[in-house]
Amino acid sequence: MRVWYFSEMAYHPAWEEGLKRGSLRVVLPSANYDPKIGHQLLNRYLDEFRLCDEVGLDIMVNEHHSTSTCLTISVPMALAVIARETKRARLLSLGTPIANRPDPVRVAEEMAWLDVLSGGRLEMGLVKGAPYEIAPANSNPANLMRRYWEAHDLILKAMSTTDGPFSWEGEFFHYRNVNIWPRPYQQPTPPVWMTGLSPETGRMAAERGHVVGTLLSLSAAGPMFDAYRRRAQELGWTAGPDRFAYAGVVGVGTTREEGLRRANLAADYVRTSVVVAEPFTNPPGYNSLAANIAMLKSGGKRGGFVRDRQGNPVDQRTATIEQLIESGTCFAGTPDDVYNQIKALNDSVGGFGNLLMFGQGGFLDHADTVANITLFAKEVLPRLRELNPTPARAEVAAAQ
Amino acid sequence: MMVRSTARFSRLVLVAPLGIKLRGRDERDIADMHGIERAEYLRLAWAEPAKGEADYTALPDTELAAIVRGREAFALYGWKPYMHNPRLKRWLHRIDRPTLLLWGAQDGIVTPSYGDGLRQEIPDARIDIIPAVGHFPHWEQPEEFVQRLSAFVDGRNA
Repeated sequence: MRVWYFSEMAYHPAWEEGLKRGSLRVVLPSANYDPKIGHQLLNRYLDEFRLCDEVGLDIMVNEHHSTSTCLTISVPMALAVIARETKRARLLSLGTPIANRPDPVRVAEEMAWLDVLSGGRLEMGLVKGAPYEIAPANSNPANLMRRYWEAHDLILKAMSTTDGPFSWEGEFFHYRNVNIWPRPYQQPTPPVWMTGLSPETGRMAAERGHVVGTLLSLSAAGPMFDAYRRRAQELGWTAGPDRFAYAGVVGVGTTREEGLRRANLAADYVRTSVVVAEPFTNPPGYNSLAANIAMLKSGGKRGGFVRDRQGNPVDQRTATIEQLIESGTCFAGTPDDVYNQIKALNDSVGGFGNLLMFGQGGFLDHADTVANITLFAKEVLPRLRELNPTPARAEVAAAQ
Repeated sequence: MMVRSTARFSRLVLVAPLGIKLRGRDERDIADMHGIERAEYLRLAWAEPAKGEADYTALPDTELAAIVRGREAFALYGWKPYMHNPRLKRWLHRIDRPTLLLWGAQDGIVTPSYGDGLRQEIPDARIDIIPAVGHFPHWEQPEEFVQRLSAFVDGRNA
């Protein structure tokens, strides 16, 4: 198993105000952001990413907009810094919300540039994006997935075409001359990742051989990974654990108490991320017809990501660390505890080869974050590497 | 349709229409119906918000599906530019038929002043503002609505 550390680079000093107003996203005015504190925080977070490279962890970066929960507003900008500060870590962009980007060719250029800069260390997530990202981007939610797939196809063609230019006249995007420079270091493209919560996403990712990731809830991961494996089998190949990724909050300590304390602080990410003004949580067309009918029937109640083992929604805003361990959202305690919890989840979903480690969140300070990263890398990572060992790249290519 | 040709029409009635941009680029002409909570929407759309309440839990799936698909269509056609066509205003002068704009005095989705701006773009238009009505005069005051509509269509108050 590979482990990819990430932090949303939150601006937690504004959380109290956001909670009071009922939204940490979209409508919380930026007067609540102090750029001087922000300057300290961004630099601190980037130092923590650099530490990961030194201790043998891989690195993941994501992006959100108009929010105090995540101040990474551009994956390529953050990864450009991190690429220069690291030597060994693979760099996962998870990812670019391509249906919210007006210019997919620009996305292809930026990803190719990062891949060249980093010497082929890039892994490229092309994601749908969360529902509350629609408002900041003002992208049309009613045809989001059609736009997603057209952008996806165009980006991959732009990156892998070496005898361009080619023209593109699609439903959403029009170019007369696509011919990106540089082309990516990894040919034909860096490995592609998708994210999701449903078996349907699992099937669609399997049809393309992409890595698929899900987060925070083991009850969603199992059915999605199963759907992927079945679809791959139908298509004549076997999907190994390296095709699957799972994101969870990690808090490890020399004592169980210390690990739980760190996880509990980092888990404020889970508790705050769902606090969004209601109109932005379900833009028309974002969720399926069936999901919308179910929401209306239930009187408008919406679940977050976190589900208990029976698949029932857990109230993320108030969940205790114990509930979050039970739901597979957090891994917490001593190195043995954390390893055992990850191993149990791994076994229950048929094996996954990538752990996306929320190793920092909210009020978990620099000293605790450094200790969390260092102890994890020393005591847990070596054992996870032996669990679902990552196949060599050539074997992956041959299997497809 | 009438900005293309009015040949087959004698009169035009528009009820609380939207579709044009009137004020500055950083001023909202049309309430952002996707960006407000349901209670706020009802407050803007109805003089008596309670009349707009619906118990979705009691509706059959087919009706719920129609509501969901309706919302999707609403976004598909009116997301960006938001609920208007930037080119429409300049063609409104071609409507050379008597035009009645029926408007709710308490319409907060598109206010009576938006209606007045629209009236100024259509040569032979007048606006009739119905008291104690929001964005849906035909639902909120059906009798008042029909009376004003039929008077205009019959030419009694042309």
